[in-house]
Amino acid sequence: MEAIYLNKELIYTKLCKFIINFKQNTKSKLYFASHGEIDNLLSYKTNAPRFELVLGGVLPMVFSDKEGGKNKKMRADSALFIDKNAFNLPLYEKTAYAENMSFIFGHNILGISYIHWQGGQFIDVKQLQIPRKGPRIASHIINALSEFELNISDFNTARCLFIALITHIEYHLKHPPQTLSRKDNLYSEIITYIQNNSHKQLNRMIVAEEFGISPDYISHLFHEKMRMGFKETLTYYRLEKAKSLLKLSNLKIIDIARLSGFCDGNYFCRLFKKETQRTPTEYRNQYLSSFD
Amino acid sequence: MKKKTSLGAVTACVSGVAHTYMAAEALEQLARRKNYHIQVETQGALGIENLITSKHIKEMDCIVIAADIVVEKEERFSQKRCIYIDVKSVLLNISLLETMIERILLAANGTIMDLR
Repeated sequence: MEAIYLNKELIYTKLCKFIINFKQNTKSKLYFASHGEIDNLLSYKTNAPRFELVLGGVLPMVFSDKEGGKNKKMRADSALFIDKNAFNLPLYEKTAYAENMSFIFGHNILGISYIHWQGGQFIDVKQLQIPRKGPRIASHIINALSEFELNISDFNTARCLFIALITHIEYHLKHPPQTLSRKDNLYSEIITYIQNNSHKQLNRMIVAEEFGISPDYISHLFHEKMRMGFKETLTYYRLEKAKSLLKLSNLKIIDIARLSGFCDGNYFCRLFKKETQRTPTEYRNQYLSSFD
Repeated sequence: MKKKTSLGAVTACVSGVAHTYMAAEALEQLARRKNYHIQVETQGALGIENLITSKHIKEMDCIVIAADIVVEKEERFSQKRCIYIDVKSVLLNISLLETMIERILLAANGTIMDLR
């Protein structure tokens, strides 16, 4: 237990210091790794979003972006945001000193890894996990940051968002999320389940069976927590999935409908129009044209 | 009918943010290709996930420890066929591991193969 406490103190102190420096240092940089190919099987790639902070020294970093790969010497007070399925590869130098922290956002857990590299070896590595519970603030900031992949020129906004994200984590380290009640926990598990399975055939009965509860209890839970029924919630996540596919892929509308869990393409188009006042094609065109 | 070969694996890398999970994926792909049953425990920055319990271990024919660091609770695998390999080799040359698994399955329980 003591070791965990010490890790937490160290990571908290380092993070606080980074946030101050990142805000004050005019040369501090925020880089983005976006979808792309790096020709190296050892490049870090996960289906969870991540970011890297360089706290001290120099850390050469290769990362994917639209124009292929980038190779930057990351200096102290700089950060790299790595969208899910984007690549990066830190190249620790033999003689250099580097101190960095990596963050990975799992479904229910935020993992933090602190690394101190010196004299050609890792002299200190510490890890810490924080449960991700309660309001989904980090998830929404990350979603916003992923969109910058398509418009990196609005740099100050991206910077503010990133500062918001690390400030939020700093707060969580000091004020660990409280253990949720069984009801809240069940609700949050069901939401995660719906998000992960929204492309499959899904209804109240299937989810109720999965969690061993009655379909009526699901309705009750959803109205209480979201003021939104099960079907509306499911449609919401399906539409979110469709929007992201419209933006990030060249897939046909009919395929996007199917991949987002709508079995009827026409129904999907009608619903999409109703919710967004635009057809899927208009939505895609508008999105792409705004970044020309 | 012959019982499906069952593998257990633990993956762990130094920083625990990516290679641990990438190696787990590579091992799962290997198992699909070879029609093995597999359970991969990851010991990374997200903590220990998909823990292999002693009940599971009993059913397993071979254990793969793909790690760059000492893994937690390694002693639970004594008496089992064990392959030790570094994470890099799993990511760069999975076919080597594939061959070694085939080979160790012919050997006696408790055989250890160290490829690090």
